[in-house]
Amino acid sequence: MQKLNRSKQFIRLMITGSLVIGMSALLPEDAVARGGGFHDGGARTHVNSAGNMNINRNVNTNANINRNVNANVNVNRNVNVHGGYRGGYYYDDHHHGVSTGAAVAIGVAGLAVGTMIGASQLPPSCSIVSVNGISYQQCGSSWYQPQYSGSQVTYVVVNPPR
Amino acid sequence: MQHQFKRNACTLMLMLATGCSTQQAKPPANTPQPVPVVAAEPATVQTKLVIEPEAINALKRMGNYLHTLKTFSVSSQTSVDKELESGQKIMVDGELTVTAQLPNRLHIDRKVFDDDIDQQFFYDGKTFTIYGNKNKFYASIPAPSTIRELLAVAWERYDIKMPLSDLFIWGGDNHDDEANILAASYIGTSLVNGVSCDHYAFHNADVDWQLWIEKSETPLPRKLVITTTEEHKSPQYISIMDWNLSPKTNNELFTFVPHKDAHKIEFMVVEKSTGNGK
Repeated sequence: MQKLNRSKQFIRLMITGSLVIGMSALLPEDAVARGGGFHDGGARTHVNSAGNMNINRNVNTNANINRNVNANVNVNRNVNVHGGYRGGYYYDDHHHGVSTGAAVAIGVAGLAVGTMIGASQLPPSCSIVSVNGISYQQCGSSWYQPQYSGSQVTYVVVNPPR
Repeated sequence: MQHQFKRNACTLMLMLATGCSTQQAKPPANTPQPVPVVAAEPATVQTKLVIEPEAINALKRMGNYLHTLKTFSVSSQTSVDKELESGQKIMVDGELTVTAQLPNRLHIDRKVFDDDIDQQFFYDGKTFTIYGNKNKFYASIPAPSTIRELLAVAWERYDIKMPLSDLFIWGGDNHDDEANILAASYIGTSLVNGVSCDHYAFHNADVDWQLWIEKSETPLPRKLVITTTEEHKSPQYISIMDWNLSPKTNNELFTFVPHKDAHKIEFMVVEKSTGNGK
């Protein structure tokens, strides 16, 4: 069961180029995963499932990604730090790469709205701003909404809330 | 060495005739004999997997003992395999302290070095919160009324793996933990942080795992190693545990009260389907 959905761990992408809507081929997740860099080894940290043993590992996130829109994603391979280990953002085997850039709207920084990134991928000089009771990271003209994805904070690219 | 030799010899005998007992220590008279199980994976040479009753009994004894504990605190050094972009395996270390007051209070301090994770989990029977000590982000959800139910909800709905969750599952009402074991064996005696332990090895379909159980009237797990054999490079997770069976606890440990500079955010909902089919 688990083997069916071992599509690879999540991954952080640094998308440097523009997103071209309407290209014919959606990038395979694995290709994105490898190109994107860091990858969790997939090590389980528990023997027994805490929940139902027949968990369907298809994960639906609320990031509202339209995966049917095709995009040409340029992966920046020059963001390695510490020998290619970029801490702070990785997912486990049951996740799917939703940050493939396959979204409709394009954020100010060139990242598609809805793209999820890790803390280490935030631009420098961000500050936390509360708008209508919701916390955002504002980094210049780019806005990100932090959330807990599992037990880790990730940031979803959003349109400026104000 | 001698034990290893005997086991190997026994494996040989198993190929010739089933029903070989691999027991060193004599099991109680009413213990069922080892049941050879044929490995599920197609293999060129079929290996017989043996469940030694002694190992299962040790696991049960440990689980039963864990279930007698009303309050405990366990500090753990953890290590887990990760991969560099090149595919090279590395180990990332961390520290955990899990303080539990059964059935409905839990506090976890969790640090993962390299990943810059430094956070606390709070659960007081009503609300579950994760708070980042550095980023000061917290998210809270209404929680079920027991730790065991919380583990399931956290995992299924929010994709949160509670550290050392096995401690609350071993020996519980749900015997899936035993049902999933395809092979079990006693390896030998060992020392973990100076504590004399029995070392056992277990094999499940997706993981191989090892337990070092304290050799005493308090059969606590002192070390756990999980090897994820279903992953290409068989990454490992190691937890070495130190136990305090009379920790000091107070309400502040279990009930989260946000500081002024804390920022409330939400948990992403993943809603893993728990349908019956697959």
